[in-house]
Amino acid sequence: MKRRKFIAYSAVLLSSTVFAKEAGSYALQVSVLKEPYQTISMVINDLFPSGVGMPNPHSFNVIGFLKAVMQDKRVPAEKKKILRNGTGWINQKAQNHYIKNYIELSPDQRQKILKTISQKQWGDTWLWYLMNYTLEAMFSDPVYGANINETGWLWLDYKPGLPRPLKVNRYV
Amino acid sequence: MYDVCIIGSGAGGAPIAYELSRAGKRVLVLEKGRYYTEKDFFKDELAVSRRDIYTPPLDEEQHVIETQNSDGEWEAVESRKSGWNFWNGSMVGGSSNLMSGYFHRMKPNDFKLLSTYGKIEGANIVDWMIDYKELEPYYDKVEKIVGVSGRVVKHPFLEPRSSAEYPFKPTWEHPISSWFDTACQKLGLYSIPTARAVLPSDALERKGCSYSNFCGSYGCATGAKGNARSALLNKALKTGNCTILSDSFVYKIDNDGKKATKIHYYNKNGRSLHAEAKLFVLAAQAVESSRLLLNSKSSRFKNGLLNNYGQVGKNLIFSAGGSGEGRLRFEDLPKEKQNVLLLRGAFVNRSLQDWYEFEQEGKKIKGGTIDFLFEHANPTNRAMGEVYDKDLNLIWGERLQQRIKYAFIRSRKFVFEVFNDWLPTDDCFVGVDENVKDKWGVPVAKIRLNSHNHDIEVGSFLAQKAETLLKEMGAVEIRSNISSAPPPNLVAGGCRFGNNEENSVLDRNCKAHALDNLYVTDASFMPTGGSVPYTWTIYANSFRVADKILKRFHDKEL
Ligand SMILES: Cc1cc2nc3c(=O)[nH]c(=O)nc-3n(C[C@H](O)[C@H](O)[C@H](O)COP(=O)(O)OP(=O)(O)OC[C@H]3O[C@@H](n4cnc5c(N)ncnc54)[C@H](O)[C@@H]3O)c2cc1C
Ligand code: SF4
Repeated sequence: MKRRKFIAYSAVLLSSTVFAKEAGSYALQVSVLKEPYQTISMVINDLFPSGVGMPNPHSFNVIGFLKAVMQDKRVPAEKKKILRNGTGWINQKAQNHYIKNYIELSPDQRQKILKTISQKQWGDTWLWYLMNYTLEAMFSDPVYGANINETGWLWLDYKPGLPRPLKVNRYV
Repeated sequence: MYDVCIIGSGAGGAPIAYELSRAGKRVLVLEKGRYYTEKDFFKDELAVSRRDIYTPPLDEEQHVIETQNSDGEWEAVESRKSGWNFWNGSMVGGSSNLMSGYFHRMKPNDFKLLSTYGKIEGANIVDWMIDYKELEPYYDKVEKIVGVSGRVVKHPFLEPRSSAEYPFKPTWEHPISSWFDTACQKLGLYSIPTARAVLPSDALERKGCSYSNFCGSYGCATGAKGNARSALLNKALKTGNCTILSDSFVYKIDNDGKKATKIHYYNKNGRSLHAEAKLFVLAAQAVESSRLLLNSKSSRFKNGLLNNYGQVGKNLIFSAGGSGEGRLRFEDLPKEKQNVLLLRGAFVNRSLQDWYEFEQEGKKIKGGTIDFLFEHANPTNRAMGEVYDKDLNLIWGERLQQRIKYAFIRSRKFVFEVFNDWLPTDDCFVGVDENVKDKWGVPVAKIRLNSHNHDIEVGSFLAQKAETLLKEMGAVEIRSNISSAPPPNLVAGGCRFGNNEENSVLDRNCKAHALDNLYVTDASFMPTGGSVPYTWTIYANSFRVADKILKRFHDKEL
């Protein structure tokens, strides 16, 4: 699958993004989204819509966390490549079906695209990674700058194990 | 010059350091990993379970894994690319820091698999050089020195014991253990309280368990877990005779034809240094021990140290079997049981060994052990367990969120692990790949993987029995996964002990046939593994070998 070249989007401020007062240096605050994070952010919204239980992923700084993942030496290069390339692939699919990019589609159209790509091996893998890292952001100790105010844990009445890491104990 | 130099500080190396330093010998331990202690361990899922901080980054140090494709051809893939990680725990105390501490002894018949159950086509089964009776005092010693907690109950496959009871009473048990007992009673099975290398309360100069709910894969912040560092190396250090050098990767062993003379290692800064000793003990875990020998070529050992008969790395084995699960749901339980189901921290501590041996078509078959436990507490994995529906389609949106919530708040997965023999075969072994080097430029281990069909048949038989038990307990969504995929953390073989150099690497005391002062004391010596996890046996055997080495020092042979 060829990676689609797409136009660089103008910076968009994500209004739903809520940030901790003091985010850690793993997942940094993100206020301006450029590709591939614009598309990724929209896909994550569609995979984990708000208002049905789980806190909005942007409220626990999912994009800041994903950016940190892309810099993390402990995350294999192969996974980063798939994460990055997936946005090109999904936009290609959106273009093929609707002659628009993913973020320009209606909610229904976006769901159809998600359904279609989830049946392809690359799509299944890419969506699986996005879910995986979103849930990592939700469950990681807040010292990593995500799971802000422990909202992810609170949603599921989840109790972390003790002792918990302090900032100085972070692996990165 | 040291008396003893030990390569690798885990379960295989530490008993030697403990015994020899206490006997006044000067001991040097070289460990490639970092020196973590209790105060460095946190319940940090991201670091420990998702970023594997206790094993080397695969870009720097990896393995090459060879598997057979559907056309029967062998395909080699670098683990840097596949992400298939065969490292377990690179740190002082080795992977024993990260174990769950399910402790089982091997049974008397495990020591004589060939003579008890007969030959199996395509498998290189042999009897051990020693029998259960010879190892029993050392199993007993491990109970007392490393600290094993449990309760002895009579059952058909209970091993003979020299101490009537365990020295430490069982750890705090979850109420579900009594539900398990009731189900066993109904099915006519023996519910066995699983022994644990975990101290229930302060003892042996260590703190008792805090029931942190995150045990397996995590370092222990109290010292209750019977890992090699907390239980043995700390005491070896107290003698003043033991030196532990962490961040020291041993890459070559020199010899003069009769003896090992010197080892070479890289320190943290990448500087090559060497150490000399009267006696050397290799305990770098099965794969890495064979790799180091194969990389230690010399004029007398052109194909690698101790490898003149091509035996090094051969007959690598794992624990065969797999795992399974069922879900216990609130709506199927009376109110009082709902409340206790979600109780955290307590251990299940139950296993079944009713089919450690069974009959099929009039033939005696070697079976195995089934351990029962709760699903691991790691939340990301638990949530990711919900992202596929039963037809393996990804789900998302409200449906996924409801499933995750249900999984965490209104149900709990009860799981089992099956352990049976991974039969040794010609196609499961360790070599080195001269073309793939680690960050020091040293050729990495190449692991060829193959499992015998018999292993899967036995594992599937046991999994079915375990599923029946889960059904009796009222679980739903029951499933199991028995496969030929090896668990990298339960690995043995590669340097079998045996009668002679033509078919084995070590003698009955785990001394190299070919050199007078080189021993291998991790699980490499094991020709077969028993149907249990290995660590109790590794510890016990290492204590046994320590006695043999001490006798040689005493007899002035060294
Ligand atoms: C998550 C997990 C759960 C487990 N649960 C259980 C359980 O419940 N029950 C059970 O019985 N077993 C369990 N085990 C297995 C148990 O940890 C091992 O069987 C045991 O630790 C093996 O002992 P060893 O001495 O062979 O290797 P290790 O304990 O791993 O020690 C080997 C050491 O050698 C070092 N080393 C390697 N190469 C070199 C070199 N070239 N130079 C210097 N040092 C080197 C390594 O860094 C390591 O520290 C578990 C393991 C893991 C990882
Ligand atoms: S405190 Fe107990 S539960 Fe926690 S890691 Fe140590 S032994 Fe395991």
